[in-house]
Amino acid sequence: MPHYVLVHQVERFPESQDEWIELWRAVRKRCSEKAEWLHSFMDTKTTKLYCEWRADDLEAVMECFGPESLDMAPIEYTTEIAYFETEWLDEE
Amino acid sequence: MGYPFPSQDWLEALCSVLNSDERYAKVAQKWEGDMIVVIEADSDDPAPDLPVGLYLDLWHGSCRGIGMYQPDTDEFPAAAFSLKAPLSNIMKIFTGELDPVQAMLTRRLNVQGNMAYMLRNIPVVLDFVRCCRLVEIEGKSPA
Repeated sequence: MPHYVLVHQVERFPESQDEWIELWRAVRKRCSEKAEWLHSFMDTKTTKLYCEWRADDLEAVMECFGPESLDMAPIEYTTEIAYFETEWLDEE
Repeated sequence: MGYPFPSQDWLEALCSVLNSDERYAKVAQKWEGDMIVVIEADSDDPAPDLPVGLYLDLWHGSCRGIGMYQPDTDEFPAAAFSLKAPLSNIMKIFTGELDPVQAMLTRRLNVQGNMAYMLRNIPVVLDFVRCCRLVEIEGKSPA
């Protein structure tokens, strides 16, 4: 299944821990067999969120976002990514 | 030298680290917010000396004051942030087994206060935890 990275610019941060968790949980609940949210990184300088997904296609990923999520952290850029494991470099 | 945790001695050692650590001074130079960390007993290990509250007045990269509070007898100071977790989760954060941001997202570390401010200042949160890890705890291996 292809992997995608979505780059979000955080426009508004949640005011409380509950709001933060509920917001992210809402995205998680919308995930399906067609799209799985794997993990996220935040660039602490720019407050951009880099989220990795495994999905049938980008459309399946987009179906996971409600309007609230996109208002708070609109998607700036999407791309399919190639995946590299580096552990094998330790092997001779 | 290790300090018992939680204790006034540990808190004083942490305050000393925060006030002498150049990296923390730089990273947290804009931080404005005191906090109280309430450490609770684990459900499967009731500790008679818990809960206890550790207060830290953190301001522009320095620690201006500390205090240790017993909820049964003392009135907790009103702090900008109130964090609460069982002792085992705090220890996991200190040993590096649990990431502090992940702990907040999963409520293993309960946070009351302006989460937006906290999330905008994640480098400060992470560096504060790094300083906590520098204070050796009696009977525990350092992270």
